[in-house]
Amino acid sequence: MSTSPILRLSGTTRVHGEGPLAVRALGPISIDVHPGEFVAVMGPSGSGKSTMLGLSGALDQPTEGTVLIQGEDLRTIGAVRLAELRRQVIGYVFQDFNLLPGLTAVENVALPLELDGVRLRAARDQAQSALADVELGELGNRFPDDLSGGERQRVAIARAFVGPRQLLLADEPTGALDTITGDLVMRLMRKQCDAGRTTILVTHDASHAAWADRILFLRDGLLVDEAGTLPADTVSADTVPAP
Amino acid sequence: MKRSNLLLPLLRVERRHVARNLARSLLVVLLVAVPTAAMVGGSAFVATVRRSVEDQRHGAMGLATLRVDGIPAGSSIDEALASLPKGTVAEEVYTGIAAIERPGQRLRARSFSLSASSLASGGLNSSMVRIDAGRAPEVSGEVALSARLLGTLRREVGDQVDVDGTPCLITGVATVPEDLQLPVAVKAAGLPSPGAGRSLLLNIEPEEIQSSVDAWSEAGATIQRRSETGGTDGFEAVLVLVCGGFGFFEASLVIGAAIAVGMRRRQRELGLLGSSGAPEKAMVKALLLSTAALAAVGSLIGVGLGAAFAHGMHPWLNGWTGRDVGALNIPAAFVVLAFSLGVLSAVLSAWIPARGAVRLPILTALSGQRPVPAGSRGFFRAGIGLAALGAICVVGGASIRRDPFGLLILGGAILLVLGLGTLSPWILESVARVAGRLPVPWRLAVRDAGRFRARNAPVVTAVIAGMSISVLLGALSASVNQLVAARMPALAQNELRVVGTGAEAAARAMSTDLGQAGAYRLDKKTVGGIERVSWIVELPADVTPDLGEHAVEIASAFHGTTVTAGPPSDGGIAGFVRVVLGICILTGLVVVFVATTLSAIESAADSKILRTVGAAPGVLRQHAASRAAYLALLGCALAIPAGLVPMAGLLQLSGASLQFAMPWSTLAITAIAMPAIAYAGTWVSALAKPPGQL
Repeated sequence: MSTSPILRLSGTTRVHGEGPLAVRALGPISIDVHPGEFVAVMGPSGSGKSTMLGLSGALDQPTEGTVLIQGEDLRTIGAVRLAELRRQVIGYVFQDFNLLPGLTAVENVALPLELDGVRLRAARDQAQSALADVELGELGNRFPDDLSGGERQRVAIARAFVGPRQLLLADEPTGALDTITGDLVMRLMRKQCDAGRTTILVTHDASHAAWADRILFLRDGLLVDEAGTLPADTVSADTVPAP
Repeated sequence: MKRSNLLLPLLRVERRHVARNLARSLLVVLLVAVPTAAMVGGSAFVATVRRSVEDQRHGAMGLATLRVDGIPAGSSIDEALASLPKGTVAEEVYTGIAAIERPGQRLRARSFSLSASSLASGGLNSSMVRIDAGRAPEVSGEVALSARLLGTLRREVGDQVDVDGTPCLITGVATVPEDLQLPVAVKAAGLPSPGAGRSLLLNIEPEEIQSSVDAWSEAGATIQRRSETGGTDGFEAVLVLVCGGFGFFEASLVIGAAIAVGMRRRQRELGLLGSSGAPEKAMVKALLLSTAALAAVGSLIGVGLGAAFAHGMHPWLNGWTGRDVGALNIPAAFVVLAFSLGVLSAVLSAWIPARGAVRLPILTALSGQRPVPAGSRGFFRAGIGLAALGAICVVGGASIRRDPFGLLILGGAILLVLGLGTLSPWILESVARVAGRLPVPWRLAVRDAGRFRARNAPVVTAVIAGMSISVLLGALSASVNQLVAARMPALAQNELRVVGTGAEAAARAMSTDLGQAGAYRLDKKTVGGIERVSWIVELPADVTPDLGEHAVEIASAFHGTTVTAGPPSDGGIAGFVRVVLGICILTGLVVVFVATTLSAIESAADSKILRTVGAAPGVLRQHAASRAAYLALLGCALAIPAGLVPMAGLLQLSGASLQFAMPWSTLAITAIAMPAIAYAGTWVSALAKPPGQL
């Protein structure tokens, strides 16, 4: 692609622990993700998928190599700027939703905007609109405990894309959902990509990976293969090629 | 399976849990150890320094069974003894004011004229006045002086000094055990200072006392019986019990909150035990036994710390109290009581969370889902009921004059605190509902407090209990200050106020000893129908600290006389209130910080989510600080009525002289400073925590 990547991992390595107890969780790995792309990451458990997503989302720091988000090297910026990136550029969706139980659905969605200094009324309006995009406009005043799993995940997606954020990182967002709700969530993410936003999806499910433009295969922390969209029945986490 | 066999594996699980969660186990040990140490140390302190009835008797009449004052002038000791039953031991005592001079110095001292034999061990005067070094004066021209006086005069035993105009050899160091600061001059028997009063100390067989009392009374003398001298013992014990009980109440509330958090974190583990066939009762028993074991360790440590504190303080007690307090006394009954209360309060506070945790349906427990908290309507009804009952007791107690100790009011005050504490879950839930427009950190703090109201309500109650005491005492102090200001207007810069039984003589002495052209005058003021008399000494210059100290020295020579300069004194109430306020704030802050730490542990996942959505480090610190400030603010706000209402009732009971005054400074500290300190303290402590990985 001709555009500059929104995310670039370059020789990125993450090692947990030190000395003889050190475990290499990821890398070295180099990946470019461009604006508007929908990238799926597959691989067996322990292959480094979530580690890669954590590094991409400025939630973790690499041991070696660099992570660039919109050209900014995460190792050279401070905690305040990292937090700003998470508010303004990156949205995260987790398997277990990670909504704050003390806030209503609309408050959860408005949270990054409020933290970014947007006035309360404006933040809530934007949040309400984002909830409407995920077809939850009427449930804004409910607390997470009063929502179903699928509804909570849609609230999490609305929160991930509210405001100016362009990069959605989704860590097995359909893992706790039934098939129909899972498909609904995937459709919502595809819709956001079609609107120009970027998505990186970590999944075990080939049928969900099939929604992506590009699929990356990881094993033992290394990128072992890369493919365009595959038919859903040809790929599974267990059929990832050996490095 | 036998019951003991059921319990043993569960106890093994508990033992492992205690070892694996050392920080929380140590918290329980610490929370039990602190009030236990305070109760043991406090009871030892009080038992050692209190003026027992026997101490008061020693101070007033030595070892005698009767003291006779106002003996008709002219009668001799022999005449007096002639009218007494056989076997009576009698000692003649003269007490007055001695003038002591050396070149450039003129001092006054309480003078005693006594026989050397009465000062010897077993003598009637031996516990009233003591010779610590050298020997007692035996003839004219000899004197024993107190150590402080010798220091001021820069004299030692064997030196010369003029006493009442006569050169005297200093033979020894004299001490009045009940007042170590008193300037004392002991002279030989029959050599009183000018104007000294004459008394007889008598040791009479018990069956003969009444006839002797009758005989002396007929002669116009004043009789003081040993059996009727001194107040009652017991107040100090009640004080220690009340303070200790308060300490354990506070500790048990925090322990309950800590154990509730522990149970929540062990939810899955308890579900697994349940699914493996462990009966509920056995699980509760194992949980309570492990808590009891931790509490026993805490109590033992507390007893040791309390005893060590008492031993450490003992050498300073004479200096602090101004009395010879004697040997250290650690009451065994209070040691046993403190140990038992420590274990009992921990077990009781663990019972409700333990029972709740094991009763959770096994599937819910295994899922890790938080059980839906019970509605707070029941707490609302119970809280309103208890608070209303407390208010009725206060109002009733204030109008029933036959309750001189205000027991009904104090009972009402306790009910009021318990009622507001019981009401707090409902308040926490209600405030959480209307927190939508608050900034994110505060909104989360308020909503979390509402969600975890079962854990936070005891914390709020602990703050209410502590701060209501300081509000109550603050109101007392303000009311006393108001009364003192009405009775005794502030003095001019060059004035001293002298009050007490020897005030006129002391004022006269000060006017001559402190300034060349000093004058003194009588000051009469009628407040509430009662005439208050004091003497004002006017000095040619302003009262300097040195002059003030000298004036106090002069006043100390006159029995029951005190001197003040500057603003009128409230009898030390303001100082006492400041100390109590400090202790209450410290207790409240410790409670709030422990609660905030527990909250942080329980809602660690929420903090991670906040970081994920881009909360800056400052916002995370504000979140933690808001939690502490909110609990402190709510507790303090509820403590204000809980403290003011009973004090208004108590002052009503005291009659017209003491009118209620609003303690604005205490209220400001309670409502503003305490939450602000909680906020700032938590904010600063959050600075030390690294952002960490998500």
